[in-house]
Amino acid sequence: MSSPTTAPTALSIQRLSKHYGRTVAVQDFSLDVAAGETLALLGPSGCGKSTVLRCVAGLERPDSGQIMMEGREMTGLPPEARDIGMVFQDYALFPHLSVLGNVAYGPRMRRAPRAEAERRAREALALVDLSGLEHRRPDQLSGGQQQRVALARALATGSGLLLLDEPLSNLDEKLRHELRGELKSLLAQTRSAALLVTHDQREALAVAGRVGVMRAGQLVQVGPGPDLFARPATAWVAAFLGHANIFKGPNGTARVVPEQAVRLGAGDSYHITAQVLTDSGSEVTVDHPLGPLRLHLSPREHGLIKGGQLSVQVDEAGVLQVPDDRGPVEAQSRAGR
Amino acid sequence: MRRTAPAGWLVALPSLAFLALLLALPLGRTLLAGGIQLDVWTQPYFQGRLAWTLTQAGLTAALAAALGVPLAYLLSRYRLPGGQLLLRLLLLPFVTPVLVAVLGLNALLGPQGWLNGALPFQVSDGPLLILLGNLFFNLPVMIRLSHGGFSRVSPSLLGAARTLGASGWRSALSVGLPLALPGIAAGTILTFLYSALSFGLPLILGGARYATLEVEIYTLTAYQLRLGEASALIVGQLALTLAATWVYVNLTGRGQGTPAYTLPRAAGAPLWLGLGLMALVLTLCFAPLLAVVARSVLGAAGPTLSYWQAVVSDPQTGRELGNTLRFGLWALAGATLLGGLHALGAYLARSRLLDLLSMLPLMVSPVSLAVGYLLAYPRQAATLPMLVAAYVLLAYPLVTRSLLPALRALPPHTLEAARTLGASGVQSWRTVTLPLTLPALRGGMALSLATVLGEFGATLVLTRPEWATLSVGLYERLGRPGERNLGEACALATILLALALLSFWLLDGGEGEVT
Repeated sequence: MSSPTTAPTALSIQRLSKHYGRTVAVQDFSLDVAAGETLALLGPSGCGKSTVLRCVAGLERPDSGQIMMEGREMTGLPPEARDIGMVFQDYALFPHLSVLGNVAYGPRMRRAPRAEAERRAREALALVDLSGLEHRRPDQLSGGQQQRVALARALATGSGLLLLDEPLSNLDEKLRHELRGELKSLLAQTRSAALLVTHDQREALAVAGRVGVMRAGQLVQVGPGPDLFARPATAWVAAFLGHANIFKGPNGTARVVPEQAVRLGAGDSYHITAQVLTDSGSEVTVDHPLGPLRLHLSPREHGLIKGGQLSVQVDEAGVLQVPDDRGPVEAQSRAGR
Repeated sequence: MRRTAPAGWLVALPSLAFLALLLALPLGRTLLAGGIQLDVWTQPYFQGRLAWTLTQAGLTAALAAALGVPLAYLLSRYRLPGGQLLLRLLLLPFVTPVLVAVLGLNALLGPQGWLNGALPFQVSDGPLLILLGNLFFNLPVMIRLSHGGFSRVSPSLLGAARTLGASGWRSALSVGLPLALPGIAAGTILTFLYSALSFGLPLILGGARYATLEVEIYTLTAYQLRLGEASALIVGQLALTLAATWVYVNLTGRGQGTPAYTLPRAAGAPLWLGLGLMALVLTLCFAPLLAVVARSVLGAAGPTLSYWQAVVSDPQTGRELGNTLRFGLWALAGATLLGGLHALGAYLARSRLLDLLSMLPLMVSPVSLAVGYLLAYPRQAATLPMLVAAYVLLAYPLVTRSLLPALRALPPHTLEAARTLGASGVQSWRTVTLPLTLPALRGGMALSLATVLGEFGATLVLTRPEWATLSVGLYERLGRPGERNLGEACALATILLALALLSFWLLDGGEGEVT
């Protein structure tokens, strides 16, 4: 994607806060999404990520803060004045309209004549590979097809900003895996900016260019997915992103041992205290001086185990020193959606 | 659009004002006019009336549950031949005017009834006739509400019970029944309430010995002008109905939505039991209707068209038909507007109280209300707007009751989706909410029109000779003895029934869901 000299921000969220009664849903949240960029907001359920999305869409009114789109102030505007395309977690397809009627709804509400609206709807449906199903009703479609209709409906608005709320979470694992790839290439094709909300780190890494990690209403870390995984800012982020080896250090710090810092078949031998077979090999726990080291071994690496011992060398330079924030902060994040 | 309480109450304001002027005020005037002489409740006579009112209502509810619950269960679990048709046909008694049902029972079991000599016992003036009449109207309520309750129980739950070792009967009793209980209880309570409050049936079929509280209130106010005693009866009745209504609203507020799945074909015991119950229900609910139609063309001497000729050639019939239609359509317009606004207000405000308020007109006796109109608005007493306003009051709750569940069942987020796609608040209501709730709105409108067409209690008090409706004409003919009058009344009743059916078919189109 070619970026012009002064890359305009498609969406700029500044110091957003939102309370429900006495619970804090979002607190002092700031984030920019560049034109054409896909950004995923990742966090456990109840962390406030959906509230951010609903504030951007205009479905919730923030207590304070600003929402700008392409430099224009949007904070007080109703949803229909914001020109966005949104995909809901439950799809929210109109049960009384056909597939075509659903997808043409956005253009129609933007005052396109019927023929023009239907042409754009057909284009969007072709984009998600659903041509031929225009006259079905939503309840006659499979879950995957309904998801595509919801996507096509958001795309047909032609809006420069797409909002996706857990778009794949209602699908089974296999379908989700297929659609992640499709979603990424589709978003690249449309050249729209997209803000995606998800609790699934694989989805965030597969679809988005940048990932923002949220916890208890606040943005903890934001950056390109691989960077985030390689250099988590805190122990909590490391744990949330799936790091297995995080050990408590002195003075409120923690040591994170990434997989690439561990060399197998070299150095001292240690006892194996636990062993579990997985679909792609095995997972063993090694009694290492740093702490119980959990390692994932391929079947070939599994052959390195000799008499209940495995030789392991940890590259000290690769071990990350991070603040340990894995406390009970979750208590305040009980946010209603 | 956000659902906020102030906006909701504002939307419901017209109907609340209407309730205040046409329900609270007149009722208050009635109660104040004679002072409430609560000591009537110490008199054995009125205690007896209360006991009989409760007994017949309780018996009806028990009988309806005993027949309706098993049938509803079987219909929700198995494909029975004609089962779906029966569920649709059960709408018919809903829209049948009270007098038509009374005539039907009379034609079968009354003093000149066809079955009167054929049965080993005499039913013509017994309480059995009242029970049968109550069942005619309430069995459908019972079956449809229980069926709704059972349909919400997922078949996999019953399947799980079976895999854990429960027999078909045990799984129905230990899993299906408790989960469907809100629906069943709602049906039982509604049946009890409707039976406790019914007026036309006990007035005509019961005579002095089996008068209910409602009939007693009518006699005390309209004939004897003993308002103080009547007021005490009205207060007692109100307390009873409010308590039952509160329970009902709380029960029906829970869960809705029917899981879609294909039912297995019934075989063996469920098939035979189901068919037997269906036959019984069909007899109870449709024999009186068939009898009315048949009696209008069959005299003692064989088939005859003379009843119809007499009715058609009477210029009064045309006037009554015109009045019935005119008043009905006016009331329908008012009921749709007020009922729609009330439902919308209750939905927006998420208010249990607004929900409950919309039930009030259904629960207050039309007779005491009409008497209240005479007292509260003496100058308007004999005017047409008063009569139509009474009709609107009685009819608009039915629109609200149909529309409100449909609003609450709107798929989540569809309105929000419309807004993000660019629809304004008003546009999203027009393009999403209205089309999705239209079947329910039409169903409610059909019910209220049918109710007004057959209304009888309030009409009797407020009408003037030149405004006589078909119901009034029917009642007059019923009051006169002789086979000719019964035949002519049956011909009029057939017209009324056809009218109610037609209005239902035109408005509802067989789509809407009512209860």
